[in-house]
Amino acid sequence: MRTQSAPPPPDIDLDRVWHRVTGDIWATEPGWIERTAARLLRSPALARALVTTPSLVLAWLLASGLVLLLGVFVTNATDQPWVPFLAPVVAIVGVSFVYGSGADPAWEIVRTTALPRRMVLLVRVVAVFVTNTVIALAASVFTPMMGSVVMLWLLPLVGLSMVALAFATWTQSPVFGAASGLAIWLTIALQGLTRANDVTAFVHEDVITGMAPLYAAATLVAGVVVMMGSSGMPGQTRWESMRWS
Amino acid sequence: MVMTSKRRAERLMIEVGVDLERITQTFGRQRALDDVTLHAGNGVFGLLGPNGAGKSTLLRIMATVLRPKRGEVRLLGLNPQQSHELRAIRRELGYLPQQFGYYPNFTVFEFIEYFALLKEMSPKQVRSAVANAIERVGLEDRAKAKMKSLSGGMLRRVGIAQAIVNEPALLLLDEPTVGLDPEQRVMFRRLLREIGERSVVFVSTHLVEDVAAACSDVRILNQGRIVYEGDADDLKRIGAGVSDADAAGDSEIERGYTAVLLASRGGREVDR
Repeated sequence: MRTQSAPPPPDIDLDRVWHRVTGDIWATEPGWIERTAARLLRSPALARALVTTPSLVLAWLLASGLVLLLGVFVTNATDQPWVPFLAPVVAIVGVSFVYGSGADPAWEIVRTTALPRRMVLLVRVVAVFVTNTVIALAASVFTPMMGSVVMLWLLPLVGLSMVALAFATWTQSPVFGAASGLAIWLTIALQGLTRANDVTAFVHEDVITGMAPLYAAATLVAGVVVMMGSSGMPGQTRWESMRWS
Repeated sequence: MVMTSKRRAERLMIEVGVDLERITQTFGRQRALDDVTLHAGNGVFGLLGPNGAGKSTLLRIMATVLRPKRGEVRLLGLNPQQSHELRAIRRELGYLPQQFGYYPNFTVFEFIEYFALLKEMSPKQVRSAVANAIERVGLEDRAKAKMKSLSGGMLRRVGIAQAIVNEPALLLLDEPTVGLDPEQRVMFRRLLREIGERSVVFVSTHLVEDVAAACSDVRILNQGRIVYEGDADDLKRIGAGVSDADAAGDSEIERGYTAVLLASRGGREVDR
């Protein structure tokens, strides 16, 4: 007796069913961080972009932790605020490498996709700030510098990271961005060296308080530059798009 | 893959076409594109030309990677200078650059899925779309393999898969067949013809036989200018009409190609 399978019902697309099944088999389930981010951001695309931030991969986080751990040892040994000095360094480099060519090997394709660059940049920068702040706070707990933590390194961390990001966005080079931010920070540090023969001499409450308006202004200006530089077609700033008819 | 009715409706709201008017692009003193005008509807268009002719630059402009120094660009009936229209274009865009970077620790599926998400595909459709794209390029048995374990030809196929995952209305491929074996190239040409029935496809390649097999229309660029516009059969006729002494090539279309280039360098048009 010959048997023959019945044809599928006409309203069922077998190809689509097959692809859904194979897709589920081949897919890697997102981790809890990505699932949480997708719920908070209400966008699986932004959540995926967040967890693929170049400066949030495990190796990078471990390196940042090691740098600050070193700062803890040196701070405790010398009684000088090395953790507040190193915390902005780690953040400046981390923020410079959140996005763009030089940080992303698939940048040429990524830049042609629909997800707005500005949103990706914002989400990644906030994530890097928060991560670096948490690591630096954790390091500060093991030093005698816990008292003035906000004034000592959070202000320069935010201000100089935004300046580095502005340079990186404007030049489309994370290396140039990081170098610019670090150069400014080291210039400030050299003043302490020349005045008191101590590179961390400027990392004191009265100095940081005096420079707070400068850091705030730098953050605002840098933020404007970043927003202008991350709109429109790549290589084109908001100003260029407004001039172009 | 059968297009969903919703996707078909969305596709009807955009014009399947590319309009470039008098495009000029310079890099420093070098003029990469010089007053190029190009109009294309659905179909597969081959871009041929020697190294440095401007093929990749033209593709990068259409991929919204570069803004031209002069000229007007309209893609799929939309203006890429308007941010909301740019976003709409990019949802319908598929692009494979000549230099193709990837994330070594991603699996094939994860890599294509990442770009499907960045192209703002509906999350419910992403997995099946990625599975379909992987099948269309013949990488089913490597879907869970890490990108770093793939050969050059396989990586290229993954690149093609991420470009087609969103069923783009505008598909731009720069040297897509590099590293593919002859069987894979035949499969790829079939894929192009299928996509070209409802999309605009531009393929930049050095392989003239790929153009002959898959492309309905051909543009030859030389020194930033379009020196030939026509179909592949026309190019073969030109090649059939020239002697070996006048134009090098192992096939009629290759002879046609070299004849056009030689004529353009001599400042004249080839006899058709």
